[in-house]
Amino acid sequence: MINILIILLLPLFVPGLISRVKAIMVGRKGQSLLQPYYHFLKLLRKDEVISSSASFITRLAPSLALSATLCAALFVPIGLSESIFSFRGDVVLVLYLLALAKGIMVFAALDSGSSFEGMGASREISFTAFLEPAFILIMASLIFSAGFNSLNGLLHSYSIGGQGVWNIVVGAFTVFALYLMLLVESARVPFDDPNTHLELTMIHEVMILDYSGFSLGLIHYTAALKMLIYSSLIVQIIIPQTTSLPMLWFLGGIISTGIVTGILESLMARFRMNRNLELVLVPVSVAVLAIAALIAKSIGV
Amino acid sequence: MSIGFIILFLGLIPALWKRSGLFSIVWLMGSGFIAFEYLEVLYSRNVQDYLLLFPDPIGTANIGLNKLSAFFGVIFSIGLPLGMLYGHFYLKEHPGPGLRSHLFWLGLLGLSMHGLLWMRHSLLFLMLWEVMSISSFLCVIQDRSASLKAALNYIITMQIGAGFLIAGFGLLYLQTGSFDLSTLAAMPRLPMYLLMIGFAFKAGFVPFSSWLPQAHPVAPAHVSGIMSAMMIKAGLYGILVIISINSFNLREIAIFCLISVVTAFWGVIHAMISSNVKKALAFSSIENMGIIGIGLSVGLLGLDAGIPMMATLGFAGALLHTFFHSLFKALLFYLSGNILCASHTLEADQLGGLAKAMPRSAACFLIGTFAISALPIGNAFISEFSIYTGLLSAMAAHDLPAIVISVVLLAAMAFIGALALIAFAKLFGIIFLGEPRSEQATKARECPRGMCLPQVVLVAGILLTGIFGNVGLRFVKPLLRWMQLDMSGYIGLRNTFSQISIVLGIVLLVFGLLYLIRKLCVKDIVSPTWGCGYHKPSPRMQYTSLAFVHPLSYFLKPFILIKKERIKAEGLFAREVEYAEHSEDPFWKCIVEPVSKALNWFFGLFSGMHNGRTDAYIAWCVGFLIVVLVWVLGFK
Repeated sequence: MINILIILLLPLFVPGLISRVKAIMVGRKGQSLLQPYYHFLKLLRKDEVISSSASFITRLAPSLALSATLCAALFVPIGLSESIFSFRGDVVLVLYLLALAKGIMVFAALDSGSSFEGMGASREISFTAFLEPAFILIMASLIFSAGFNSLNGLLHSYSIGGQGVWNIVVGAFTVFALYLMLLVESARVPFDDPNTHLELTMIHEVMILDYSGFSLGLIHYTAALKMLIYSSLIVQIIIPQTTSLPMLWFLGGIISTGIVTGILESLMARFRMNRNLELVLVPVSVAVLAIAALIAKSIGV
Repeated sequence: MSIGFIILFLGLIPALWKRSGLFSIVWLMGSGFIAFEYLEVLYSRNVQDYLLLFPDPIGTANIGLNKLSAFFGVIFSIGLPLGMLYGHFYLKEHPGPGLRSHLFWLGLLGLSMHGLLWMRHSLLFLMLWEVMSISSFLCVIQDRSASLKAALNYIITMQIGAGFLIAGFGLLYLQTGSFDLSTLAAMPRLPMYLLMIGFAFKAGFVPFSSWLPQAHPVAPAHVSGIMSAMMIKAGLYGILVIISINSFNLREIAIFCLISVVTAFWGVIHAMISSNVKKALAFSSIENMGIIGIGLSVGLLGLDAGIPMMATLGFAGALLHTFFHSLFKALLFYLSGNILCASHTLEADQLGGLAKAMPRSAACFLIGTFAISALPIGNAFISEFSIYTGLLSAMAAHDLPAIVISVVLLAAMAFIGALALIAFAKLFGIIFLGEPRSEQATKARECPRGMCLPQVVLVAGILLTGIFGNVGLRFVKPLLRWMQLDMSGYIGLRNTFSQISIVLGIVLLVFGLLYLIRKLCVKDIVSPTWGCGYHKPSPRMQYTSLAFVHPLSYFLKPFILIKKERIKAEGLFAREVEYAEHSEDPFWKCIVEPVSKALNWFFGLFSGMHNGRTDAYIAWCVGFLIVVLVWVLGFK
């Protein structure tokens, strides 16, 4: 129950937090933390302008993307409470539900016939080529150390402070790789800048140029939910197993992920667009390192 | 054996009368009967076996089914009649010369594919194998002017593959002294390798796959559908027969793994860069064969490393993928026929915006795209899920070689899966979405209803097997039991699949609700696409298929042989500037072309003998007789 409440209510809080942190970093007062919620509710009440090039894809894409992401979120444990669904190997389903959401949004971008949106679609989907191996390898390394289990079981039984120094090394690798994936997947600096105002330098924003009203609201919510999924994965790995206040740890973790991201965004510039993919290889190599470290440990090097 | 085959044979009569409609109806009926026999073998214990007595070189032939051939039989009897039905509508829209012979060879192709499964006698098997190759060759050349060269390449490749099979079966005969395949236990290694190579030619494993992307684009849509979705499965059937009776050591499994990964990777990167619909689909067949190969090697690895769960999941994934591939690949090839009939081109960059003109085909293609790129709701997700969980389960068992191979396979599967998503997002997006890029595409209209009928049936099958994974799983269960795999893995998979069905049900439910709310409460105002201040947008400004995959080209360039042709601008007033690049098949370039050139040169040495002069011919005869005389009598 608490999971569903958090999945439904918390996501939009994180983007608000990030922009607030960014505002404070540059010495402004910043918007209210609830601003994304107001924005979302306003968009839901509006009608839509649909491109004359659009086919049925444009109309169904945001709903399908949202429902797929929502169901992926049902597999993620929140705090110490169990996730709503879990079975062995569900990590693959989570990965492919997120891919489904991304795929259908790429179709929607191509549906408008705009060259900018095609460009954004091409950039966005190119990232998956390296993110999918990274995700599956991270999960493989968790399974290696915690046994073949569901995502819920993996995250609960794994703890970073657990057994000795190796575990800390591998846990740090995993968190680092997941954090980079979070930055890529939720279109943050240094991979993408949500505040840029030139279409040529956008990725996620340019894909949804032609959306407005109700659908745009759903899209914003989906993006925030995806960010929440990744940050909960990170937080769940960091939470110590023996804590009396798991919920507090969880919320604190999500908030600090948001604050770190905000600070990072204020301190860094976006990287060169055409070299981004090389950087996306970093999570893959980090995941490979983690597995290599685990295997080395198990055969006793 | 009896009634289904007789009906299918009778199907050749309407073929000779050029009645393609009646022909496909007979095939539908006959397949129904024969599928019943296959299912009986698959799900019950009674096995039909016939012993036929032939004159001496053949001897006693054992003809019958086992679980494996019944499994492939069901796949054929679902896929073939739909192909014949689509062929009927396609040939009506897209008539060509020689309907009679085309239908006849099509019928013979289907019959030989079914017959192949019954043969447990290596000579009869080889005969039907040849009939299958030759009849499919004659089906491909329906449109003779365009397809002869590619089809000849196909038939020559198949003959080389058959050569390996003949050598393999011959060696087997020398070592066991019988042609009977039903009593075969573990094989000696050399004939086994030869047979594997021979079957790999048909199944399209790298490096024997260069016939696929050449033959499919020129064949009529229904023939490429039947060949790609069903016929290459005959090669896979052979490989599975060998795998089911032999045990392999780790080195052999690693080599098989490597070949499968290379095949899948090879297929998918070429599918990414090809802008021709059918060529991309042909390359994707290679990719899917690679994925099936990965599944099989996961199964073998599980047996070798003593991880029963991994073995069950790997084989289950491979068999499921075999079945599912026959559904979605047939669907996409038939839809490529629709695209061709509507717009007279298969080049993606000439198309665009077909979703508005052809909504039915577009919706079917969308489901096919989901299936082929293994997104949930499509059925390939179910089979790839099984392979993935097999690999993940190996991570928990502490067996070093299994873990190292699993890590490599996991990364490869995820990478290949993502590339497949990119390849088919590109194909669907460029062809069906946006604005038409050429005049032909603007004129495209939806095909007649019949041309969507087989596709609708296939889409229903894909959705059924994609959402309810247990439907497919029940289909492969007898096989898993027959292969004596651990059934607890099967039960685990069954529970998982029912939970996946629930989750996918929720996805669809939430999606339906949101879509309904949007439809009821939101008013759409139509206006042109936002042009960022540019007021004269044209369809040519849209992203093209190569531009779409360009970001990854930096990483994939080393693996693709690209031939560039350019005429540089020279002087102040350049007359001609040209630049073109297209990909080439290195196996074709480095192996086939030099060999065929060398053969041409060698036979060219003798071309002077054929000079048309009678006296010269008589001289050759006399010379030959003298040589024979000397050889027979010998020097005394």
